[in-house]
Amino acid sequence: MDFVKDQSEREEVGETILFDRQLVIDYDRRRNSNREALRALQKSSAPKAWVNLGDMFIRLPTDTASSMVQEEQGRISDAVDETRERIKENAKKLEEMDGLKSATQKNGAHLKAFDLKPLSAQELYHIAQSAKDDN
Amino acid sequence: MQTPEVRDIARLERTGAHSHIHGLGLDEKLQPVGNFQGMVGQAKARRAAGLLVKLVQDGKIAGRAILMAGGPGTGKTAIAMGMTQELGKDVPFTMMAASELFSLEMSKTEALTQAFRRSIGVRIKEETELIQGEVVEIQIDRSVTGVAAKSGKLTMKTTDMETIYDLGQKMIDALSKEKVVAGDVITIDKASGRITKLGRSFTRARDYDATGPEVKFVQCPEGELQVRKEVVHTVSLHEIDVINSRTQGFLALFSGDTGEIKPEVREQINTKVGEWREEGKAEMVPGVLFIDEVHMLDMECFSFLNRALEDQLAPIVIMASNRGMTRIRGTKYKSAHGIPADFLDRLHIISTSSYSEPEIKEILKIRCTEEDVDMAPDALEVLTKIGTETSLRYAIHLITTGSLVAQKRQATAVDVSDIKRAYSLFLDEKRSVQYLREYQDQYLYNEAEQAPPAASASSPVPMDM
Repeated sequence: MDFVKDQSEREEVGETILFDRQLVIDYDRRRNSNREALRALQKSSAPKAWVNLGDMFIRLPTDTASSMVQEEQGRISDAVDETRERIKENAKKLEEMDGLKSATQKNGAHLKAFDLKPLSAQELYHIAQSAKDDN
Repeated sequence: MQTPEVRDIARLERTGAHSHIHGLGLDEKLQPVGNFQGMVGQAKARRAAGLLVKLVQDGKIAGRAILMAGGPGTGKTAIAMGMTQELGKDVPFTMMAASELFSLEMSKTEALTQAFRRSIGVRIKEETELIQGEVVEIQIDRSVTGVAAKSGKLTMKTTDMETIYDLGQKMIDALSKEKVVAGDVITIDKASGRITKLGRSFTRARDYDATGPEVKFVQCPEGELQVRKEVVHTVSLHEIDVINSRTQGFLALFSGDTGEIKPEVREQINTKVGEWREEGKAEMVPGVLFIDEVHMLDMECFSFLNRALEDQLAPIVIMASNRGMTRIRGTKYKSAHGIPADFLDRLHIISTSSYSEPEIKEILKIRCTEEDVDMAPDALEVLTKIGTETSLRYAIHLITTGSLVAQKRQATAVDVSDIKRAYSLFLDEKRSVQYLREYQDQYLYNEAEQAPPAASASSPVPMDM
């Protein structure tokens, strides 16, 4: 019975990952169409623009429309980050569940490094020089 | 007496000699399993080694030193190889023979420092935002006069979405420089704007009848256009040193000709890495440095090691020696394993003992499989006998030569006669000494009549054990 429980738990986590992946795609699609819209608003010289909200077209001043879209861009970008973080967590969880069974992958320890803050390749170089510049 | 090993090719010969080792052959409770992962016998030493591996993995010991002591051919190097395998690819493991330190290009302490720093890894994560997709269309508007800045549009898609980017002068230049055309799969680095061509999309494979061999076809990417790539690398401190030593830059990593690295540079790198660690940008991975034939080190090296092991960023040093009571190199003093007493005091000592007859048989059997040699059971018996009476190494060498003899008479399996033939063709150490005793007067510069030669510390003649 343990096996069934184990397997269903794993399935659930796996399903969440797939769901989140699709979510990121949807967010990105939205982000890209918003970006195109911002461009178009920027280029147009008309004082007002037609904006599609849900299933309604509303005529709004260009500035208002553009700031609305911009606001949404910020929200989307936050949501994407959040979703990616969740994917990472779940992937780790899944790995841990599997890892418990194989001794070589010590309980997903190899994934721990993904929690590090990013370092750019540039930072690896010129350590000696940059230290000199500081002095 | 004992024949000195040829050290120049030691590394080459050894990778082959221990290719059958896949681990330490321990179970989950670190108990040695009879014959597992290519390991036979040496149960105590294996357990000790397994314990050390566990400690390394838990990050418990750093800056410790271990000595593996035991006669020649008792599996010291094999255990070291097993430890490498157990630790996995991610943990830096440097293997060197002590005599490698004595080079004219570099001082001994520099070579040791480099070996130390090679064995300490820094794990870092690189993160890049990329726009990745297949180019559907590039449209560039040129002004009639050709003076005004160009502008254009780039349409990109993945299997899930499609979008249009407005292009500025810079991106247009970059695209035409990379010769990007519709149908190419490209990535654009968001931070630097650098464009990389991954290949051509499969769906466009029929666009042209003739394509050069350099055209690579790839699938149209899936998912979102703007992706984030996270890559984790483990670089050694030495590699960071090299790419930051101003004289040659990172190319020295490939040529291996790094020369000496200034202590100030190292200092700065240590500080920087410390900063990264505190900021949560890097993670230290203390590795293992294996020094074979450690009795070849001299006083200078030992005192340096003494000091270096106290450093905060010191790896675990495993040393191996097959010497008993012998002179410390470059001095007149005798000490156990040729290691000064104060340094010996710091070491955890693991000793390996000679193999028993059944163990030798097992090892020979493993080597036969490894070398793809079919051996008749009675031939294996004979070979085991030879192994107990001469040495394990000699017996292992007879496997290959014996199989060549067998091949010559077009037999598929090696039998007793082949082993006998190989045994008569190649002398083992004892018989070779015997032969020399008999015919010494026919050799040049024969000195055997005189009392035992005054062994100078650096002479390659056999040292007394």
